[in-house]
Amino acid sequence: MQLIQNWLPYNETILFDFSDKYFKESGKAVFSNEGKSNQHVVPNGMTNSKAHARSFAKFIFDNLDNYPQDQKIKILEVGSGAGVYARNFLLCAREMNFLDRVEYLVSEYSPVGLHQIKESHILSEFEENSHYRFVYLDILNPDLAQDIEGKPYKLENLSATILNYILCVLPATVVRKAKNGNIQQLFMRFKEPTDNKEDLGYLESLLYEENWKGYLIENEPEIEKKYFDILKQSLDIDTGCTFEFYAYGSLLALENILNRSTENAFVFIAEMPRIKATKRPFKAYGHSIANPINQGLISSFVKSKNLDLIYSTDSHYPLTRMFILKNPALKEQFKKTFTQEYIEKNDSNLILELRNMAQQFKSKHSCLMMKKLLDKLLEIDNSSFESNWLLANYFYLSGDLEQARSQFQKAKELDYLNNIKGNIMLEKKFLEVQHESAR
Amino acid sequence: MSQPDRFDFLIDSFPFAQSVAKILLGLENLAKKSQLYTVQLDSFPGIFTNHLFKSLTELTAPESLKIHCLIQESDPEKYNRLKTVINAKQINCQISNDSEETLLNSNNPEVIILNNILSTETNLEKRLSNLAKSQKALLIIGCELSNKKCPQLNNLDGYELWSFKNHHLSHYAYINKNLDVKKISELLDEEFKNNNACEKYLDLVLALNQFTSPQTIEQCKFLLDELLKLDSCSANTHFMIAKFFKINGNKAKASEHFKTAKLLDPYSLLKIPAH
Repeated sequence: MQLIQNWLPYNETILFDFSDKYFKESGKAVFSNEGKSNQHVVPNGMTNSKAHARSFAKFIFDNLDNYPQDQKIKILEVGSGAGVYARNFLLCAREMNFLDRVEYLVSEYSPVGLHQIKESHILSEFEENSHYRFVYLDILNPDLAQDIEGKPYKLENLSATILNYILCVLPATVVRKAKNGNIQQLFMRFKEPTDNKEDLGYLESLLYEENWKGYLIENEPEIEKKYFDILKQSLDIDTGCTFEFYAYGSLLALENILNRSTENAFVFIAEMPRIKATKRPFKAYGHSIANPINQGLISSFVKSKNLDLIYSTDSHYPLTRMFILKNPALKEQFKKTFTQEYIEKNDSNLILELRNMAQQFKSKHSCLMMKKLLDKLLEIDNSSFESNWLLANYFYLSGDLEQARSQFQKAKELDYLNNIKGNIMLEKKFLEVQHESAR
Repeated sequence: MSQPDRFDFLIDSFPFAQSVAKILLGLENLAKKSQLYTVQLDSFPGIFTNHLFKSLTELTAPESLKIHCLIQESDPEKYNRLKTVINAKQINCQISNDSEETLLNSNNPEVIILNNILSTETNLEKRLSNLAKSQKALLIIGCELSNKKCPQLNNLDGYELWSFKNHHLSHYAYINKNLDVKKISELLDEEFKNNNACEKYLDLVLALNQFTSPQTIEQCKFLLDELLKLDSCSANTHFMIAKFFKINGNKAKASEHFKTAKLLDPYSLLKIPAH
């Protein structure tokens, strides 16, 4: 077996080279099922659900009086992917009657991705440069932001920012506290069982060895030095894990956002939680890797800035939700909305579970039950590909071919991630119904 | 919470046994028989058998029952366990550990039930041919998981094939040509094609198995009511209800239903958590 990379600190390994290239060059394809199996798709089911966007919109809605009336409320989404979340948010803002007060920054690190969003017309119901604006943005270098025509764009006066699974892909290294109290860093070397780098299972299949060496911060780049004291504070908290992530990229991103935010602004983070038992530090999705969130590190960072943090980890779906508030006086109000949205009802979970449940109904004898379930689903999400596809399935099961045909067509128009094309079963069903209906 | 194993519960649901019971009673009428001898081959684990007896008892007054059931299981270990599980008090039932051949020769059953046989039988078509040789059986009725290939022997001497593939289960039957094949086919159609409570139940169990959060449960209580209406005596039903109470925080009720589910699942086919 060939050694493809000798000992290097975790953050300098080929994992990050692959990931960076993949996100930069592939655009929305990383989120699509097209041409790949499920485990290689970067997860987006929960974060692309309308309920997730509605909850975020609710925080803006509840905070409307705190924003100046004479200027747009500037909302930044870092890494907009295929634009599905942006569309959902704008739909919710319209439903909540504050669309005209909003300028939503649809941003991408990948130029390919940003153009794909524009060309897909996913935001065609809304007005560009009024309700939303396209921005090229590397959140680690926000001063280099550009508009979609390549002109410099000054990122400032942000009222709210959302990061859906963004922190997990920013630079980070893996550290631990040795028995003598010194901090050690994880080094890795990789061997490849196959030389097919094109295979999306390549990163997952790599064999690696681990080694721990002293983390000599004086030899490290500035960005790692910058937050080292915060790392040390966070390592004093015993999490029961054998190693921790030093997500310095996340801290720089948050600092960049907060520095460009207004006084009543907030930052919403949706992230993959840490699973203690996991031995492997990274999770590979196709040619990208993700590292779970280090809550202790973010908490120490927020504390160092005298800001406030509200967070919880969902016990039903692996998702950590965090709100960083610039104005501590808003904490009680945020806590109230947080409790309503995520503890008392939690529509994000409900959408996913209703979808999963509705998918199980395969018999025409179950149509009535399926319809009742779909009515509930459509109450909270009537605009997604998934909901509309399930409704089409219902018409098909109940034998109403004409309705099924037009509903499948409607779902296809909402399939911005090309999920039908990527799934033989869905594609077959779609063609079958079109064919049967034509007969 | 673990997903119920498809193989274990799909064929053992109460609505499925209820349909088989209705067919047996319908056949009894159509064949104008005062008694009907039924044999269920390879009966382990016996859950279907108990459901069948319960259905027969519910559908007919016990004193007028004329169906004699022979439950066959020749594997000694399975036979011993089967004896402890099958509740034969209310029905004319005998459990036998004779070989299939001996049992069939000595009893000449009129109905042969082959429930989920493909899991252990690699050459079912040959076995069916043997079963049909005497041409004494009125009906050979079978069921398999629909992802398995059902036997399609069109040339079984003296018998007419009826079959229907549903989403979860595939049903087949060989009807003795001496009977009114059309009417018996209609009976089979009615139970497995037109009004299939079993498929509905299985859809429900699989759907309910997806919920994990209290918020979803609140929205989906009506599905639990449907489940109870269809089947109140399966381990799966009680497992789902227990899960509901557990997530809703009612530990006492959850424990009660987990216990019932465990009793109805003597071989621990469901992975019921400690309660």
